[in-house]
This record gives sequence, structure tokens and C-alpha cells, in this order.
Amino acid sequence: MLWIGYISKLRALGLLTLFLALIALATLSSHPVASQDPCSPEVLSEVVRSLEELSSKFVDVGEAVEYLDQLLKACSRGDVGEASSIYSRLAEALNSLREYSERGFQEVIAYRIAYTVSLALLPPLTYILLPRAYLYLWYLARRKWAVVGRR
Amino acid sequence: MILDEEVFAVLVALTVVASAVGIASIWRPQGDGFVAIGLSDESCRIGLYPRSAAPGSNLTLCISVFNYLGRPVAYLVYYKVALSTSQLPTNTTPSSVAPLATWVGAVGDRSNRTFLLKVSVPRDAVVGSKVALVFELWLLDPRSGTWVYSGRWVHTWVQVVE
Repeated sequence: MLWIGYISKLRALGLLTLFLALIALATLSSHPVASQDPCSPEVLSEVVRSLEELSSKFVDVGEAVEYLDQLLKACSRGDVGEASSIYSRLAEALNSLREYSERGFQEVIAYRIAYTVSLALLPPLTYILLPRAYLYLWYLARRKWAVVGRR
Repeated sequence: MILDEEVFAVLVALTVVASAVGIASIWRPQGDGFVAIGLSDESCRIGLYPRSAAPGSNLTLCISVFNYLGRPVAYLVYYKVALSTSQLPTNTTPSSVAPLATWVGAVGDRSNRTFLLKVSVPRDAVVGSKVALVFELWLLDPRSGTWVYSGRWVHTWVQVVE
């Protein structure tokens, strides 16, 4: 009986430890910003990489670059609290830009294709339509003219 | 034909050229790009650099960082004092002397940052000698996570006086 009581206590303690570990893991994973040093080279490199990637997809990263500028200056001053606060805002800005980036990229490509097609059509349209338009205007300007037979 | 054939040919040729230039400009691949650093006086104007300074005195200067790399960059400006031309940086190697101050920041593509800074002439500078106030531009390499010398620097010579 003593053995059974001891084992059940151990099992309860194990379950409690597992439960606490899961809570701690969930808390850490939901706050990735808090667990990282915003001034570490890895974090700064990751931010710059993200900015490069978004910039290559024609996303306006001006606001995020301003945050990075402030973050670097805060890190340079050794103000880790301010750096963490700026990094949180920067991470949010990057996340929202990432959501927009795919749609924005497709929009830019669609715009470029439409622009290219319209430009490519310009020479043949000029070749076909210019003489006709010119003739139409020429006749329009002379529609009140009377034709008189040459003597 | 009422529309002169030669005029028509010229007009069509112009549209072909305009079309080709327009298409090329929109699909033009991004070049290598460049970064640059500029030094100016305390009014952020070129020309009126300090000629002389006493050891330990402070000078106000203006630095401009330009980015045309096609991507945003994080930059670091090192302030160094070179005692001779051999201690000046080159296009490939930074100055061998230790930095006295640093400034960091980030700048977007096709943008620049201009900021005032105060630098001090070293107290142990020899009176009567000339020293170069050197500003080197370093960039953060996001692949390696290290600051890499960009090959760009500016310097101005200052006569050390009492």
C-alpha cells in the first residue's frame, strides 16, 4: 500500500511538472520578442535580411527602416529597454509587411506586364491607326469643300 | 498617299524606339549599386572644413551616408585619427588605427542620412603635426552577422595647434 501511495504521488508531481513546462513553453513561443536580445548580431541580421527580402518584392519598407535606425541607435546607447520596445514595433511592422508582400508583388508584376503590353502595342497601333486617323481628320477638315471639275 | 511616306516612317520609328526604351526601363535589372559617405562642415555644407584644432578640442562636422545598393542597409561609421598617409584607409582595407567613436543607423534604398557629430582631436596629438580625421563606412552583412568595411571613407587633414 505504501508503494502504491508513493508512486501515485510521483505520478501527480510528474504531471504537474509537465503541465508547468507546457505553460512555460507556450508563453515563450507566444512572446518570441521578449526571449531575444534585440541588439544581438543575429537579431539585427535577421531584421536586415527581412528588409532586403521585402524590398526585393517592391514593398515600401521606409517605416521599418526608420524603426531599424532607431533600434541601432538605442543599442548603440546601451538602452536595452528602449531597444526592446522598438524591436517589438519593428517585428509587428515586418509581420504586416510580409502579409502584404505577396499581394503587392503580384500587383506590381501585373502592372509591369500591362505596361509592357501597352508599350509593345504602340508601334503596330501607330502603323495601323495613324494613316487612318490622319485621313479621317483630313477629310473632316475638308468636308464642306465642293468639287469642281477642271476646265 | 496624303500622309507623306517618309514622315510616316519617321513617326513609326519614333514609336518603336520609345516603346523599346520604355519596356527596357521597366524590366531593367538592378545593377551592383553603391554606397557613399560624405563629409561637410557644421552647416552641412562642403568647403569650410576646420584647418586647425588644439589637442583635446571638439570639432563639429557633418556626415552624409548615401545608399544606392537597391536594398536597405544598416551602417556603422567609425571615427579614427590617422597620423600619416600610411594610416589612411584604402578602397579595400580600413585604417589600421583603433576607432575613437562610432555612429550607427539604417538607411533605405535611394536615400541618405545626414547627421551632425562632434569629434575630438586626441589629447596626445603632437602640436605642429598634421592629423587626418578619418570616417569609415561599414555595412552590416546580414549573412555573416558582422560589420564589413564598404571601401568608402572620407578624411580631412587638421593642423594641430596649441
